[in-house]
Amino acid sequence: MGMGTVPEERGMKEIRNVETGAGRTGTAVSEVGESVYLEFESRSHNEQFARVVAAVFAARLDPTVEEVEDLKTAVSEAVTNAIIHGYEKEEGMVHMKLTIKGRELSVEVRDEGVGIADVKKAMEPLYTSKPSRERSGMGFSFMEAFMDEVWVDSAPGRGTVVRMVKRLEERPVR
Amino acid sequence: MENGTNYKVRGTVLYAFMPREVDHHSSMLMKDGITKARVSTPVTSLVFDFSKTDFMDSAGIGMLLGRYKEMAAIGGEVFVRNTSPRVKRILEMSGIYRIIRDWDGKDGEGSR
Repeated sequence: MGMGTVPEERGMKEIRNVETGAGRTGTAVSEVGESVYLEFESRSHNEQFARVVAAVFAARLDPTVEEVEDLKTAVSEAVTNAIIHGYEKEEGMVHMKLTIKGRELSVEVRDEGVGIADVKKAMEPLYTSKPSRERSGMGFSFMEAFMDEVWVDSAPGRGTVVRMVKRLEERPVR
Repeated sequence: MENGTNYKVRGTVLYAFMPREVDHHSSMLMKDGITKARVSTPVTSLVFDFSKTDFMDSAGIGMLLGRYKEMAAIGGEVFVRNTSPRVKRILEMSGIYRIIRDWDGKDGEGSR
C-alpha cells in the first residue's frame, strides 16, 4: 500500500466538510468506513436494544424510513436466532459489529452457542428446529428479503456468525 | 407497561391490542396473556389489533400461527385489524393471509 492509504491503515475516518446552501455546513463520511461493536447477554429484551443500536448507527447515512425498518427486522431475526437457538440451554454473550463503508452497511451477529449442523437446511423457508416453540421458520427468509447479502458460517459446537450487507440508496449530501 | 398488550372481551370476541413492537420477547408475553384471557371466557373469535404496532418480525408470525392453531382446534377464527403498511407487508410476506383475515368493518369498533 502506498502513502495515500495511511488513514485507512490506521482505521481513521476521513471527514469532508461540505458547504451547502444558506451557509449550512454538513459532513460526509468517506469511503474509508467506520465500525461500532456491541456485546450483550442473550436475554430476549436485548433484541430490541440491538435493533435500536443498529438503527441509530445507520442514521449516519441518512437512510429512508423503509431502509431503517428493513435493517431493524434483519437484526432482530439474527439476534433472536442467537438467543434462542445459539444459547438454547444456557446464557451467553451475543456480539454485534456494525460497519459503514460508503453507502454500504454491514452487520455481523456472532454467538458462541451450539452452532448449526446443516446451514442450508436451516435457511430453508419454513424450516424450524423447534416446532414446539412457535417459531415460524421465516427468520432467514426475512433476513434475505430485507438485506442485499446474507452469509452464515456455523458448525456444531463452534457457534454461529451471520453477516449481512445492505446497500443504501444514494442520497444528496445535505 | 409501555410495551405491553391489553385485552378486551366483547361477547365471544377477544381483542388483543398489540404492543408497539412485536418481537420474540413481547410474543412470549402475549402468548401467556391470551391463554389466560381465553380461560376466563369462552371465545370464538380472536382479533389482533395492530393500531399501536410499528415493528414486527418473524417471531410475531410464529405467535399468530400458534394462536391460529389453538382457535382452529375449537372451530374459532383469528383476525387482524388496523395494520400499518409495514405490519401488512410482513403479514403478506409470511403468507398468513391465507388463514387469517382482516377484521375491518366487522363491528362498530373502527380504528382507535
